[in-house]
Amino acid sequence: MIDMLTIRRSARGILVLSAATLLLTQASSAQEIDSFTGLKMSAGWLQVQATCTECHSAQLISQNSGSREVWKSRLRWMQDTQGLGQLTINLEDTILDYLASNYGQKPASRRAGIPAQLMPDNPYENAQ
Amino acid sequence: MKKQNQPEINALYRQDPLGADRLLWGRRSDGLSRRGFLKNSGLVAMTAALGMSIPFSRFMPAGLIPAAFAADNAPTQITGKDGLIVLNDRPLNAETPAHLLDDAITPNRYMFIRNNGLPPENIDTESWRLQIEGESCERATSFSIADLRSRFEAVTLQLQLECGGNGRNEFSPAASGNQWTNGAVGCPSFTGVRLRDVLNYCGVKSDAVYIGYFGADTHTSGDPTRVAISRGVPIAKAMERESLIAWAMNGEDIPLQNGYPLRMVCAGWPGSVSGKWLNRIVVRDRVHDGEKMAAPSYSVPITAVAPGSRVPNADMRTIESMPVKSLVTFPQSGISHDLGQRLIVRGHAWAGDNQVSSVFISIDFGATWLPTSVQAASNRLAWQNWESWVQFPEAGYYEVWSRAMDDRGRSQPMVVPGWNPRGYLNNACHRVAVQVV
Repeated sequence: MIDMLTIRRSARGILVLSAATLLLTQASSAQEIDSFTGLKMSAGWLQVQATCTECHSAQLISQNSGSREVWKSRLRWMQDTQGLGQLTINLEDTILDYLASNYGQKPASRRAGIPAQLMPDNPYENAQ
Repeated sequence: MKKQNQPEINALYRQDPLGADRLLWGRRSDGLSRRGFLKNSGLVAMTAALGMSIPFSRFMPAGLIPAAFAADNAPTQITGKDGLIVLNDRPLNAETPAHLLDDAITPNRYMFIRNNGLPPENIDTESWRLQIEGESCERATSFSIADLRSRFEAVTLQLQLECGGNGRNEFSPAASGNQWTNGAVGCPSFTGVRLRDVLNYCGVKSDAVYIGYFGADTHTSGDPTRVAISRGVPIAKAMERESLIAWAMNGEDIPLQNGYPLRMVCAGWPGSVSGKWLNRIVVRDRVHDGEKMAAPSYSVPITAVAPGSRVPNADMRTIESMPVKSLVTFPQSGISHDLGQRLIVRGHAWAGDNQVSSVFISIDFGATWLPTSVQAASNRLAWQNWESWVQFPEAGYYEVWSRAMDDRGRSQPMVVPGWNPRGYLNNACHRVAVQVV
């Protein structure tokens, strides 16, 4: 039992460290993430923050994805039903460009694998 | 975890809620407590390396942080909740990892949260009123909670509630909304009065078609003229014996985030028909036209569409009874298991307005299926518990899949079912991963 705990703890450490590496890689390649909102800090993010987080958490942006058209339809829905006002064409373009390039459509899949955080330790990956 | 590490943890959480949050929250084995994980230097190294020493977001109300890490022993800061994964902090939406749904009756602390608006504050149960009215109500009446308790028969039923968007995260192209995995479901016991007793007391005209609810939650924009959500059910569903106006969940006050002090419960349909913080019910002579009643909200295409289709609202229909579905709540996904031991496998299954007739499990990616022992529901519209065991033939990687079938012969698909623009009704079979060693 003690052995099992030790193994699992070290496995978790590897998982965490690899996640840290991933995030560091993102941070160093112009994909820095705003600590305040969790939004990717590329062109347009300030406009997105100012316009979108008035009504909802930025998490509603960062957990979603889609093409420019899909994001546009979401924006229209918010304007039609949720009280979002008319945006200037420039602002709308900035926002849609930002969303489509930073939170674009995810790869097609009939069903993805079980998420990494729900997977058991892989004996082949842990072998030295 | 020392207190001064709190901002780092929060920043990490803010950065990638779906990934980092789950990474932080998950207990991958019984032997590894969250506390143990917190002492793991890898996590501290990660936050330190990223240099994230950051204040709380101005939008994050106290209590929504993955607070196992913040307070000494507090499992979470969502009052009364434990281990839920926050998908969205405004409005608050949080789901329950499958292994925490193992109880036959979902405890209050494990009941998921799906809010459309912001819950009311400073609730006074003494002065709380429920108004019944509408064009098809004969005698508009206002009730206190004490009135409801004294005038009508109190009933306690175990009732299954599932968000219509549970499983949304598997749709591709991605569907808009909270990216629920499979934990927006629960089956607590509710105590209240039958909705039909209250409606009949007030008189339902023969032209009544639908009932709609209103609650005391507020729109996230802060605009007091906007309604966060106001949905409902056809009269026939409202008049079922199991449709309740409830004031208690598992014998206690309903948790604030689940609708305290009063809510509707119309089980087996999308959870959004069961209004929270209930203060008004309207009896309508037409389909209720409240906020999020109309397509595309809680609606799917009338006929099947190709993934990614832009479907006009006129070609959508409102979701009613939910499809058959099951969860493996034991074992927790990600365990290692001894080849020499049998593995108990168990969970729950439910089927909207219908019953579950059977549940099968597979350990070979659906090539062969093993029957399980399925219990009767404790009452109509409660989920059903099932259990079995497997003996693995050899060491290696396995997925345990569960597939339920309803009493009309409909079972869960193994891939993600019909794509729809808002990503509702994903009832693909549940999968947990096991490494047999």
